[in-house]
Amino acid sequence: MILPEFDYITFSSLDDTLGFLAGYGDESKIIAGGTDLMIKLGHGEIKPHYVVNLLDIQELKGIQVHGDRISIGPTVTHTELAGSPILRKFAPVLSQGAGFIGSPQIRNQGTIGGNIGNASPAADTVPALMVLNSRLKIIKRGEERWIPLADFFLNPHQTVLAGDELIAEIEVEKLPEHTAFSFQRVARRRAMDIAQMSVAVVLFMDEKGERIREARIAPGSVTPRPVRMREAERILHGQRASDEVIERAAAEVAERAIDETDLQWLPEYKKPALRGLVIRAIREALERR
Amino acid sequence: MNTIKVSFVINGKKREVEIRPNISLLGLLRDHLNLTGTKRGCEVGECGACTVLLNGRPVNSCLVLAPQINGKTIETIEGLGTESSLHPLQKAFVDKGAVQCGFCTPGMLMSLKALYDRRAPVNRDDIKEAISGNLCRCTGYQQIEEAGDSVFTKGSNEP
Repeated sequence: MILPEFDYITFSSLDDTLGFLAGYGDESKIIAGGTDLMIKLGHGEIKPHYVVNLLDIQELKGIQVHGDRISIGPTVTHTELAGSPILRKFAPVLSQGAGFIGSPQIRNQGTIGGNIGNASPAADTVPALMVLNSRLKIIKRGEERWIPLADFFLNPHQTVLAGDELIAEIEVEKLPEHTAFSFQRVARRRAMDIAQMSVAVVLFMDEKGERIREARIAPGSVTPRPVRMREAERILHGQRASDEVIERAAAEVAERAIDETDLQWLPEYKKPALRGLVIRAIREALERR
Repeated sequence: MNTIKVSFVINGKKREVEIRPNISLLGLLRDHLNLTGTKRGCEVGECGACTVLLNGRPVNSCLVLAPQINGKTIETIEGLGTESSLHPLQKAFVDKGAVQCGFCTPGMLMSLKALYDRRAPVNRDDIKEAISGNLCRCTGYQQIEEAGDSVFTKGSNEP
C-alpha cells in the first residue's frame, strides 16, 4: 500500500505537541494506534502534510481513580481497557465493550481516544462510555474545556474537535462494586467484525435489590450519534423488573432508535433485533446484580 | 518530505534505518529489511497475515506506521526458530499438518508465540481467542488448534 507523502512529527512533551498543532493543526492528522488512520491514508481519503504521533507522550497514558471518577488517558489501548483491574471492578461495562473490538491485534494497537475521535457509529467503547456519564477534556495550547461525551459528536465521522485540539482525558463515573451491567452485541461473527448493533445497560437497584432505582441504556451502531434512551430508562425507574416492564422499555428503545435515525440506516430487521438485544441486556444485568 | 532515523531491536538485534516516514512497519520489514516471511495480505487489518510482535504483543504490521517503532522491540517469524532448531510451535504445525498453502502460517505462529510467552496454562479457548485475528482459508483451523493444543497441553510453555 502506498501512503501519501507527509512529514512525521513526534514529541514526548504535550506542550510541544500542542504548540505544533497551534501552528499546523489544519494540515496535520494525529496518529495513536493507527488502526483507523493507516487505512484512511492508504486509501487516499486524507492527505495531511504532517502526521503527529501521540504515543510518546506520558501524560496521555494510564488509568487512575480520582474520588468518584476514573480518568483514562486517550492512548490507553483496548487491551489495557479490557484488562484494567480498576475498570473491571468499577466500570466493567467499559472493559467488556473494549474486549469486543476487532481482534487481539487491533485491541493491542487501537486506543480509546482513537475510537472516540474517529466517531464511527459502531465504536464499541462509546455505548459503554455513555452509560458511565463520561466527559472529555479537550485541550489546545493555553486552553482546556470539558464536554459531555454526547456533545463531542456531530455526525458519523464528524466531531467538534478542531485541528489544533486534542482529547487529553476521558473521565468516567466510578460505579459502586457489583453494579448490575451488561454489554450486548450483534455482529456476523464474534471476532474482527464491526457491531451491527450493540447496547450497554447499567442498573442501580434499591437496597433490597428488588426495584430498579436508576437505569441507563445506550445503544450502539443504530443511531448516527450516540444517545441515551431516557424515556426507556424512565419506564424502568422505581419498577420491579417484571417481563412486562422489561419488554415495554425494550420496545421504547427500538421505537426511539427509529426516530433518531434516517430509515436508510435501519433495515427492517433491526427494530425487533434491537428490542431483543435490550431485553437480553436487562436480563443479563439483573442476573449479575 | 524529510527522511528520519528509526532505531529498534528486531529479532534480538539492534538496527537503525533512515527511511521516508510514509511507510508501514510491514513495508519496512519486507521492502527495506528483506524480511519477507511476514506476509502482505489485506492491508486493512482484517486478515492477520502480517502479524508481528511489537514489545511482545501481536499487532498487524500493515497498520503500524514505521516511525512509531522507534525505541521498540519487534519479533518476526524470522526470529522464531531455525530449520535445524524449530520452535516447539513450528514443530507442532509440521507434525499436525497445520500448514496448507502456508500464507497465514507466519501470522498464526506469531499470534500463538505471544500466547506461548505468557508462560501460563492455556486451554483450547485461549488458543481460539489468540488466533481470532488470523484468517486461514485452507485448514478450517482444526489442525492449527490441534497443533497449539499439542504444545500447550504438554505444558512445555510453562516455567
